[in-house]
Amino acid sequence: MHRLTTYIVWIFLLLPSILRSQTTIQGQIKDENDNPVIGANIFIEGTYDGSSSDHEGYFNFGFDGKGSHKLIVKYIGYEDIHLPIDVNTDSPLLKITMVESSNQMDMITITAGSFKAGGENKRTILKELDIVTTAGATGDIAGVLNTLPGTQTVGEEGKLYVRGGDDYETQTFIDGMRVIKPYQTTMPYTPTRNRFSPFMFKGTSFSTGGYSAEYGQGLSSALILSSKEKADQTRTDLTIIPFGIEAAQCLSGEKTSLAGKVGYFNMQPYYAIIPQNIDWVDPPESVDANLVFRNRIGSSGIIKAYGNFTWSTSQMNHGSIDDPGLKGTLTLDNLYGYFNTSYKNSLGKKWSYLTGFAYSANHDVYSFDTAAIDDRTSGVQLKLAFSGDINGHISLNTGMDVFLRDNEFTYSDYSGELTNMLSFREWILATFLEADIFITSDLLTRIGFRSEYSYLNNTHAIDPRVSLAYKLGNRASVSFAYGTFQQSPKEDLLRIVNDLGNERSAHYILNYQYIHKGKTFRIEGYYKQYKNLVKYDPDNMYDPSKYDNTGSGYARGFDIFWRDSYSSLKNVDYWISYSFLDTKRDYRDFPERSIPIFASKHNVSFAYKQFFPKLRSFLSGTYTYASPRPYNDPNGSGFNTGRTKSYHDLSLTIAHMISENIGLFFMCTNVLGVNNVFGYEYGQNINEEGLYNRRAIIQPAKRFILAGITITLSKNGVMNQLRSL
Amino acid sequence: MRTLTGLLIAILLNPLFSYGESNYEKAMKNAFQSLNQATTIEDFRKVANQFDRIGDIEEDKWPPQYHAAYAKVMMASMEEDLQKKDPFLDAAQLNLDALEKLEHDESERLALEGFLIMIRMSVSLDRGMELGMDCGMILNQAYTLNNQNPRAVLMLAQFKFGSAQYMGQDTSESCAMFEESLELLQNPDNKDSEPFLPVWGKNLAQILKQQCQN
Repeated sequence: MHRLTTYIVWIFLLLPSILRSQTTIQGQIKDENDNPVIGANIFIEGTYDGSSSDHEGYFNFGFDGKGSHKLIVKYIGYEDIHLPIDVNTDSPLLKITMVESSNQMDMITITAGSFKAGGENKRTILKELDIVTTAGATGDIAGVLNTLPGTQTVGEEGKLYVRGGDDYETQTFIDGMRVIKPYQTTMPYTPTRNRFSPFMFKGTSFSTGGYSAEYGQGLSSALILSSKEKADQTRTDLTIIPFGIEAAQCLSGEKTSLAGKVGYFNMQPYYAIIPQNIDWVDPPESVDANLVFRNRIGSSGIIKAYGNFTWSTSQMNHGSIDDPGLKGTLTLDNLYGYFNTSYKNSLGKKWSYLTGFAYSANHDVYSFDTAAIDDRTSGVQLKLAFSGDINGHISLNTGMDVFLRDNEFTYSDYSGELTNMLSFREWILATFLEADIFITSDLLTRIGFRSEYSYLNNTHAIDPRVSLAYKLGNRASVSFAYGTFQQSPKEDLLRIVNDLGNERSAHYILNYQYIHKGKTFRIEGYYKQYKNLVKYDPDNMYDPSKYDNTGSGYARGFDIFWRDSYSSLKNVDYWISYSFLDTKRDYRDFPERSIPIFASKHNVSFAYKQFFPKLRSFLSGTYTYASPRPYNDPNGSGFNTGRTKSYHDLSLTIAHMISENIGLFFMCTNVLGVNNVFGYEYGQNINEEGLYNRRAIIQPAKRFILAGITITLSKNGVMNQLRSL
Repeated sequence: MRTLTGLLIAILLNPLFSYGESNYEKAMKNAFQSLNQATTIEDFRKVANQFDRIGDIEEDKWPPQYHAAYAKVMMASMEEDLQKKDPFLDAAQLNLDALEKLEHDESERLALEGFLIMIRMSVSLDRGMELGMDCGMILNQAYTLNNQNPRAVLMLAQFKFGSAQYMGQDTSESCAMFEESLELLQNPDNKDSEPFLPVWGKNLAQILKQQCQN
């Protein structure tokens, strides 16, 4: 009995190892060029059994199972291999060839028309810090983008003008949602700034044409801003400048974070020291508040909310051109609010969805001596989008949004005799579908469309968008983009004639880009066609019957960009951009096809930055040139035939860190003090000499000089102040 | 006879059981041991592969993801060709992203992520400018969550040491923190509480401590 027990126990003890007798699986892995793949991960599906390939690509390992199995081979940058094998006896030497995958990190991207900023991606043209460190940009998003090719400097406006497009042709998006009135309301001929602080955003994508079907309502360009997913650590920042103070507080927890920033600015003391070309009664005064909220939900969900509130007021004396002694007072009050919230989560492993809501409201009141204008705009957008991979080669991005915009414009004179109210309410329902298809690992195509239905003019149109990118080795690529775009007319026209048709454009873009070791070279040629632009009779501006969509135009040219972040000069980073533009259009009150006043033929920017680590200092200089711009001279012959002088600006920024927590900065625009003239305004009446009086449109002050201090208070005190400089 | 039956049942079932939990532990123990013995890039690559194989199946367990990420960061730190560092770090980041979705020790994850970013910054000066702030933020968070985590202390100290050197400032605070991390590493308070907890840091702490003495 005892022996039997022992025997049985022995049998069972041995059984598992008999059942699991090992077979050897062996092979060699090579790539398409017959080179061994070293360090690939080889294993049997559903088990831990496996090995890594050695220097010659060989591998072998023991496996306990029997029957049919799947051998998996994985290697970073290559397509996974699933090889069915029968494991009964030791395998012969398996010959395995791996193919480079299109999903590798270095994959081809479409670069036509697109500039990316921020993030760790090697393909980014601008770095996140460039917005603050580029001289002349004065911390303004539009300011730094104006140093890129494809933009035209329009000094009196400070807005983005892209490839012969008017400023309204560039649409701004935050987290996928359109922003109404992204620029601050300012007095005539005083340059504006983007309302949104660059520090709130992680990635910026600036498209100078041919942009994705996810976005619409911009004839020329899209500025796509993504807010940060992670808030900064708990900290307090204080910035003190001669005309204002700004405090920022960030509270950061494991799942939730909240950041707020409040600033008060009053130009009075600054204008008292630095003479201005404008006769200010009350220099601009403003309060600006920002709030960012982030909350992670579960493992992959995130709620983002962003809010901005601005109040500003200013008053100036404005002389009449016909009678310079006659001055009127103009007061401008502005209230602005923007709120945006989105929820993003994943749907299974490969898909994710986003739902979003945005609300903006703007209220401008212009008061003259005898009359007032009250201009209110509000907008709501709802969005639902899905994106994901169908397989390793095709990914899809699709969704829809509803956009509602209201505008109410009231003109009233103080005698109460005349009140005129104009308004519109616009509804746009849009859907989009776009697929990225890797035809080979070197050839990517993006194909899609955007469909928009407008309830205001009762039209429906589908805009196709197609791009192709082809990789030339690991450093260079060529891409092409084509797309059509539509945009409802600007609000000052739409409120006069509610059912004006949409303006339309088509873009053709060809791009070559080379990136290697911090050096970037790109050249891009484009052709843009405009049609259905709004035209009216300048003598009957308020007669709706004089409006139609018969305008048209074109813009063509090329852009060159060179950046070297790793030049032989240590700690130096610089870029040069050049844009050539040839454009003409017939729109608005143009009597014939002519060059619009915002278009300059040649634009050059040279941005230079140098760090002095030992001195803990930073120096940045930017030189900008724009060739003469047209203006309309009623005393001359023809339309828009006058030409201004060319534009020159050299700006400098110097920053120094006193300690980890305290930084000093100094910036100055137009160091050389050039008298830039942007154009001329003409009077209404002919003077004694039989001519119209004119007045030059010039900079509000020759230079903008700013010195300030930033202080950071954080628990652990390891902040790098450079970002705030 | 009853004991014999019991024994038989136990033995019969044993293989079934052993092909469940304990197989995971066996494979992890094996990989963990290799990790502690790894010295070359190839060693770390093999270990990373081992952990990835386990992680592929054990989708709900944090240790394989964590250690695979660590092994890949080590590969990147040892790789001399600057161009080759990023792919390893990108792969490590994927493990960290997977880890974030599982139940895990956040302080440890952030400390490792901070390590990863520091290696990324080492590729070029210019990246330091961009990533420095993120890195400081992440490491501060790791430290705030658990200031007894020797790796959080060590990584934050290394970051502070680097920035203090850059700023030409006193490094005594970070040097004290190297000491502190060494002490924590030598007397872990979480001994045997859970298998496969991170243990790395001692060598690095000693090297860094030596830098302070020079």
